[in-house]
Amino acid sequence: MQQHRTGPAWGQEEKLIPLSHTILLSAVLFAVGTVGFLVRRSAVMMLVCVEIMLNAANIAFIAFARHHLSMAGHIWVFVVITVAAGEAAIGLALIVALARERGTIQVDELRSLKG
Amino acid sequence: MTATIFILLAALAVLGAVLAVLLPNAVHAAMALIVMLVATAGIYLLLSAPFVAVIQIAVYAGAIMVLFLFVIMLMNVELRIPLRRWTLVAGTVAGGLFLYQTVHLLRGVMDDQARSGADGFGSAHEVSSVLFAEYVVPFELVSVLLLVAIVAAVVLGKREAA
Repeated sequence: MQQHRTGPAWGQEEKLIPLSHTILLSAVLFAVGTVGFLVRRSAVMMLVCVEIMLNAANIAFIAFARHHLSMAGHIWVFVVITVAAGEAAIGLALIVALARERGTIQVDELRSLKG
Repeated sequence: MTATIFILLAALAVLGAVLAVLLPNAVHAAMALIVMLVATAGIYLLLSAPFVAVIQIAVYAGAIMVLFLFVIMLMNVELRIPLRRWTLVAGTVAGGLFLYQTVHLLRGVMDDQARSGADGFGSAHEVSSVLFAEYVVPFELVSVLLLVAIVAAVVLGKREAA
């Protein structure tokens, strides 16, 4: 197969980053996103925290792809980014509709389904 | 050198995420999230995934965050919703327990034996040759998902004809 690039790729020249470091970073970011999702009461900010969690998952995908030298992780990162884009578009459209209908996006005040 | 850059980018990413969670103003929080996304793109570069890093900047930090900022700035509802103190405490405890358990589960499972990469790993050429051969069905399914998302966003965003 013809190689379009010669020379080492990024991050190969020197000591590689240990897998445990990147997975720890991914776990910390996911936990921060989870806390934000539980704590924030604004629907927009809850979506932002979901984006943080999706990014943490992406870091884990890329770290394992590098570790096992498999391209599958990269492909699934594209899938996750696409799902994140769709989720942001639909979620924000729902929030805009909600703000128009109810005049608030505070999730504490949206309890008409509560019996 | 690589380790130092990694530590700096990781610290920047965590700082951006924490600020995004804590800042009361939604616009400031979105800006902090952009910092986190760009730092993550740098980490992708260190992990020999340059194409994913470019996609991260273009799609995530570019398109998705612009969408967020547009919605935040165009909506005329109260965005500055204060955090409740006890909710914050409870959420932090829950997140801390979650993190502890994740780290505890993962400890001992991973080997840090790094493999030296093949030439061109993670380049656009490598990604596309895998994406359009082995993973062509997920690729097409994702494009269908995007189409459905476009239609749904248009329908949801449309004003009712009174």
